[in-house]
Amino acid sequence: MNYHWHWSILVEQPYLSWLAHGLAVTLTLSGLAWLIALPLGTLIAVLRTGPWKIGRVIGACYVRVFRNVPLIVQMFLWFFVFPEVVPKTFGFFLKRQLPFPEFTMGLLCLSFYSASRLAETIRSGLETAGSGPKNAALASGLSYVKTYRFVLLPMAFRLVIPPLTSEFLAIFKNSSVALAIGVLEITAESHQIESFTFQGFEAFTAATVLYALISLMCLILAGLFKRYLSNAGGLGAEVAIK
Amino acid sequence: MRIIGLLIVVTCFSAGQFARPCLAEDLTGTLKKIKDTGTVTLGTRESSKPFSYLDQDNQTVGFSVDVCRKVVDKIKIVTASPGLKIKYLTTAPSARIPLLANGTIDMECSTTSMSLSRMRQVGFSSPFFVVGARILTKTDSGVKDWEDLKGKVIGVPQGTNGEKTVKSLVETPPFKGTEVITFPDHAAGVLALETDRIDGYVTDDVVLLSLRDDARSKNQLAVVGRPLTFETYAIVIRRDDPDFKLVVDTALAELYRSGEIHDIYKKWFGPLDVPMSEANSYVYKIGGIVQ
Repeated sequence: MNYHWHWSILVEQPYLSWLAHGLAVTLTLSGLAWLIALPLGTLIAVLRTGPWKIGRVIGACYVRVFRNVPLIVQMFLWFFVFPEVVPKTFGFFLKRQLPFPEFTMGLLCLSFYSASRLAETIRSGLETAGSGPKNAALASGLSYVKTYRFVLLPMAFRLVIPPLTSEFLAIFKNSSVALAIGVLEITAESHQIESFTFQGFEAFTAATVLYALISLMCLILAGLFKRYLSNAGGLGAEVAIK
Repeated sequence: MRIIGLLIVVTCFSAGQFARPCLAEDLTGTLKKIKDTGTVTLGTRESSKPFSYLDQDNQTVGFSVDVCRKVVDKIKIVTASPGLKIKYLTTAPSARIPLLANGTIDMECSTTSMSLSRMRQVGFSSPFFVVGARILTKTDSGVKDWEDLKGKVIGVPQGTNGEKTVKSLVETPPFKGTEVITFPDHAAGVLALETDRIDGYVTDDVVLLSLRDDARSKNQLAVVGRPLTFETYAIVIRRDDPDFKLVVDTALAELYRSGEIHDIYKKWFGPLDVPMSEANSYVYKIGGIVQ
C-alpha cells in the first residue's frame, strides 16, 4: 500500500468547515424529516387500521407506492420530474423561487418515504395491541378518534419503541441519498474533500465517525424516551401486552 | 584480423548497450512490477467523453487512453518486454486513489486535473491537455459571458475545480445574489439546464462541448464565455516513483516533439469540431522537452 496519510487535513480549512456544514445539513434534514414523517406515518397507520374502507385503501396505496420505489429514484422524481408535471407557474416556483430547492425537495422526499416505513411500524403496534382494547373502548362509548387517541396509540407507541428507534437511526443514514440531487450533507462533503485532496480514507473515516456519533446520540435519546414512557402511569410495554 | 575482431567487440558492446538501456535488475517500483507481471493496468472512466470512455462495443477508448497507449509503448522499450499486455479497469473517481495506492492500477488515464493539494497524495505526469472553465447555456437565455450570470442560477458538477472557480466568483461583490447548485454528475446538470432550473452549467470547456454534442436539445445549447481558469489534465501515477515518472514524461515529450499528438488530437476532437486551443498548442510546444 502506497498511501500517504495526512490526518491533519481534517482540521485544515476549508475542509473542517465543509465537514461542519455537512453535519449541520444532515442533522437538520433528518431532524425535520422525522418531525414530518412521524405524524404523517401515524395518520397513515390509523387510516390503514381504521373503520373507513376508503381510508384503508388510501393508506395501503400510500405505503405501497412510497415503500416500494427506491429512495434514490424518488429523489430524482421529486427533484427533476415533479416540477415538470405540475402546472407551469407552480413548476417555475419550485425550480426558481423555492429557497434551497435541493434541500426542500430532499426533505419532502425523505419525509414521505420515512412516513411509509413508520406507518407500517406503527400499524404493527396497533395490531399487536389487538382488538380487545379497541372493542372495549368502543363499547364504553368512546368515539373512534378518542379510542385511537387515548387507548390504541399510547399502547402501540410503547410497543414499537425498539423498531421506531431503528427507523430513527435509519433516517440519518437515508439522508445521505439526498446527495444524488446535490444536497451537501456529510457524505457529499466527504466526497468533496476526497476529490479536492485525494485523502479519501481520512475524509470517509471522519464521515463514519460522525454517523456513529449521531447513532449513539439517537440510542441514548431513545433509551431516555423509553424510560420516560414506561414510567408514565406504570404502563410499560409489558403491561400493555397483557 | 585484429581490426575485425575489435569491430566485432565494439559492435556487440554497443548493440548490447542499445538493446538494453537499463538492466532488468535496475528496475524499481512500478517499472519492476510491470516487468514482473507482464501487464500494465490503466484506470479509465466509463463516460468521460472524449477522453476516456466505453464505446458501443464496450471498448475503452478516448484521447487520454491513446496518450497512455503511447506511454505504454515507451514502457515496453524501457523494460525490454515487447509482449506487455494492457489491462483496462473502469474506475469510479472516488476509487482511483485507493486502487492506485494498493497497486491495482498503474496509471489513471482520464480527465484528472493537477492541483497542489492532490500532489500531497499522488504524482502527476507532465500535463497533456489544458481546459478552461466555460459556460453551457441555452441559446435563447441571453447569456453571452460571465457578467450575464449575475443574479442568476449557476450549476456546477460536485467536487471539480469548476465548482471551486464558480463558488469563489459568486463571492465577489458584483455577483452578489447569484445562486450555485451542485450536481453529482454531468447528466443531472444538463437535465437541470434543459428544464430551466439553472441558467448556466459551468465546467471544463471540452467536457461542455462533448456534453452539448450528446444532448437531445443540441441545437438549443451553446458553450459561451471566455475561459475563466485554466486547468491541466495529467496522467496520475504513484507519488514516490521518480523512475516511472521519468519514463512517462519522456514518452509524453517524444509524443509532443514528434507531432504525433496532433494526429491524436484530430482523431478525437475533429469530429466535435473543436480546433486546438492556443493554450494547448503551447503545452505541446513547451512539453516537447529536448532529449
